Amino acid sequence: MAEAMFEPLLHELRDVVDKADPIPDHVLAAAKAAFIWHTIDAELAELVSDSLATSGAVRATDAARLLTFEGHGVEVEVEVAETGATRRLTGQLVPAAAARVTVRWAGGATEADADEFGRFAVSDVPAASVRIEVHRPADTRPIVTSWVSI
Amino acid sequence: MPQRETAELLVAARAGDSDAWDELVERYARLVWAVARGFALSMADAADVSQTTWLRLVEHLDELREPEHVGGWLATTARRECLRILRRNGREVVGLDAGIEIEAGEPTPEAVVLDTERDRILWLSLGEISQRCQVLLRALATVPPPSYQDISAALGMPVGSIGPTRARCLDHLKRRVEVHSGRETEQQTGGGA
Repeated sequence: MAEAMFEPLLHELRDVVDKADPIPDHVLAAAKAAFIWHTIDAELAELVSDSLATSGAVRATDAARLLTFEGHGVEVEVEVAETGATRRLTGQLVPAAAARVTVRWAGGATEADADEFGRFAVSDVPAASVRIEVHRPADTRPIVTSWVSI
Repeated sequence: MPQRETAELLVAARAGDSDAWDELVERYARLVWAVARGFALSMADAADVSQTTWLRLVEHLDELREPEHVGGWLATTARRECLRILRRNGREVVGLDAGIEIEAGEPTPEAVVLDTERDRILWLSLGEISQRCQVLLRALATVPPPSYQDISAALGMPVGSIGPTRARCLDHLKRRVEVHSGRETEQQTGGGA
């Protein structure tokens, strides 16, 4: 078989990749540490739309990215703007409601209030994997969005 | 057999067993990394893709329908995240269904850690073949070796195409290696046409 003929090359490649570009220890450690989020007691709002995934635009950098999360009767719409090395998130809760909003990432979190129209804005969010937690006064459990890399 | 073990790990992790989770990470983290770097993402972007991919698995741990296919699930999630990041960075992504064609990324500096000429040539050659081939070969070269189902998920390509594509990609790689090896020989002998 032609395939078998190249096996030694693949074997060689394995060694080279392992030497030249191994997975960094901190990446492996972060993947293991992700497990702490398993026990969070909350309702999930899934990412249902992402302008980066649907637009097909080649120059996506020119426009702000739009994300929509949905679940448990709530929609969280978020616009992500690049502000240098950090991100500014501007959001809207549907249906509109006042809420405590927390943007969380592996190393920290930042909080903001959504007004009675469900609008909120959070600045200085690092370019990392983040999720948004929404605590409305009437809810027994908070709503959390899917993790998304911004 | 190994697939059954993977399913067991997933079920144990669901029940809160963090050792099982760690083992799952050990088993698939290199595949996720291979996909991200195969798409020529920077170290920082690849780290982001990895993190988002594993966080998504945690999020969906309790409802994943086919625990034995978690490798494919991770590879698919990683690939989609890579394509998002490529778009965000304004790099061209064309014909995703037909295959992946992306503008070549910047040359990588990793070659400095390679101490033999043969290794350097192989690493250089890997960066010169098509992006799809790079993802495929890097995924195939992962330890532990992934299944064709996992590879198929990493590329968004039918399982039946993996064998022939793999042969073609290895052939392309081999030819690049030959070109570079030829040049080396010419330089060493002071020759060249």
